Amino acid sequence: MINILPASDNTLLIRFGNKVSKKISHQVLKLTNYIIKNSVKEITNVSPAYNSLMVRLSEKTSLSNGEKIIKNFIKKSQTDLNYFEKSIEIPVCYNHELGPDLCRVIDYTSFNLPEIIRRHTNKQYFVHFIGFSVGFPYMSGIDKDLETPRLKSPRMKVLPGSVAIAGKQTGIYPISSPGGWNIIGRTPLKIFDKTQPISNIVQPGNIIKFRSISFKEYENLMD
Amino acid sequence: MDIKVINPGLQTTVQDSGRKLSGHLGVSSCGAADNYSFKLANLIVGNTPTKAALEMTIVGGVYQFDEDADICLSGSDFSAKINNKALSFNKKIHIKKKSVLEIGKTKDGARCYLAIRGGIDMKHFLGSASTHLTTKTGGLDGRSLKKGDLLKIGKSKLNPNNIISLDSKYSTKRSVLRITEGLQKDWFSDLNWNTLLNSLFKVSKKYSRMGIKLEGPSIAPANKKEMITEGIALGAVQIPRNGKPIISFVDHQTTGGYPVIANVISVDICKVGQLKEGDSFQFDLVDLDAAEKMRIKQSKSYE
Repeated sequence: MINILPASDNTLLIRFGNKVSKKISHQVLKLTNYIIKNSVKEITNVSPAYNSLMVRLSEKTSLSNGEKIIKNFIKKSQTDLNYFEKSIEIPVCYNHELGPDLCRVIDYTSFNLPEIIRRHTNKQYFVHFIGFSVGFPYMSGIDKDLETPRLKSPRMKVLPGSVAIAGKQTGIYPISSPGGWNIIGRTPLKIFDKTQPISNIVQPGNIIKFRSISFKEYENLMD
Repeated sequence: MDIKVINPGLQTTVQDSGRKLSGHLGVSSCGAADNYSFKLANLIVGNTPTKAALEMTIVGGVYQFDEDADICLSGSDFSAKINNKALSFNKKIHIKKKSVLEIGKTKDGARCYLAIRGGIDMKHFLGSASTHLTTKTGGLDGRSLKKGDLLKIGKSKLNPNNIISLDSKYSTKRSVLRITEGLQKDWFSDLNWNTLLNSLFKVSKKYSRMGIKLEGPSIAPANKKEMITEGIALGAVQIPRNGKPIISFVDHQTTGGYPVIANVISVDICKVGQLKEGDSFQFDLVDLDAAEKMRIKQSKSYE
């Protein structure tokens, strides 16, 4: 069930159902990609999320005209491509220095560090969308027993490459930013490259697997 | 032609009309905080309305011009002078080479714009020269200006457009912000709505291009439902758990999980760009249709 709602006098929200699922994300992604590929002057920006896409209209475009364009795009995009699924492996060094919230996760889950690593690297994660800040991937698929609520108050500065979990989600902080998720490790990979903002390593629709690496390997890969 | 930064003021950044189709990468549209004054300054100086200009916050700074230039200051009145002669706002001013432009403190709202004929020539990030401070992208290395920076001015091509009608004081009249109902309007009780519409809110010291945190009565939603993260619209009035509203602004996160009770209407977004710490204002609820009409009408006032 697709709903188109006005979010403001120049913004529409398209909701694809009311839950988080891979199937719904595929619908969101298809429409997002279609809008970007066929850029029209009436649509100035898009913000995809789990089950919705927010669309900002140009200052001269009415909400009703925007809705008409989007309905047409939905029709065309959804029958379009089969989404190409790419698997990506991200090396992560899980230790207390690079993962300052590991203690918190250990307390909350009662697992020891090796067990946390095993459970986090054991699963495959689906990238639903990039949101919050530049290049930040929202991923689902976390081991049920590893779920840990976000921090009570966000940390002012999270370092780039930090791998974190919060509730049913896991993510990677691409740049230094404030953040409220539990940081359990860090990847040496450059998740966001200013010079190539469009070709990030992690893209929506990707399947992510984390691989545990030693601190030495982490340092080598950093160079 | 170059402009040399002698003193960068408090927070001066290069801004233009913002980016397009960038939200899916996690970057909001950004662009001038008071987009109305920004456009006005460009139009008066003879540029197209989207050319990169300087956005100054609270204190302007000191700038030296190595060649003759046409400039226009717009937005809040910051005390500005050249060779100790006071300058008027919203007027095209011709500057002689080697002149030093001194822009002091605000006498009104938060922001003042300096547009230069030809615009600031800047490498684009995702299609725009706008500086996004939180991600350190766009503008000059993604940061505010600092002493010694050189800004290159583009070649001037006269804009064939004409200003039809723009009230130069529009954005600084900021005692009322008009809003339409937000996506989670139903999460809030009549009492919550009553509080929102009949109280005075004050801008806290936590105000930036990302968002404006307000002081005033708390608007805590009765139900403690969890929201599925969704896109944030520019001007969304979000209600976090403590009930103190946050207005999302030009550099906002692209997605978020706080319920949105209301949204500032498009033509009043520029007023949010003039809000500064301690300013008080009220919210006024208007129809979506009316807000949309005002937006389309305003867009036709400069063609």
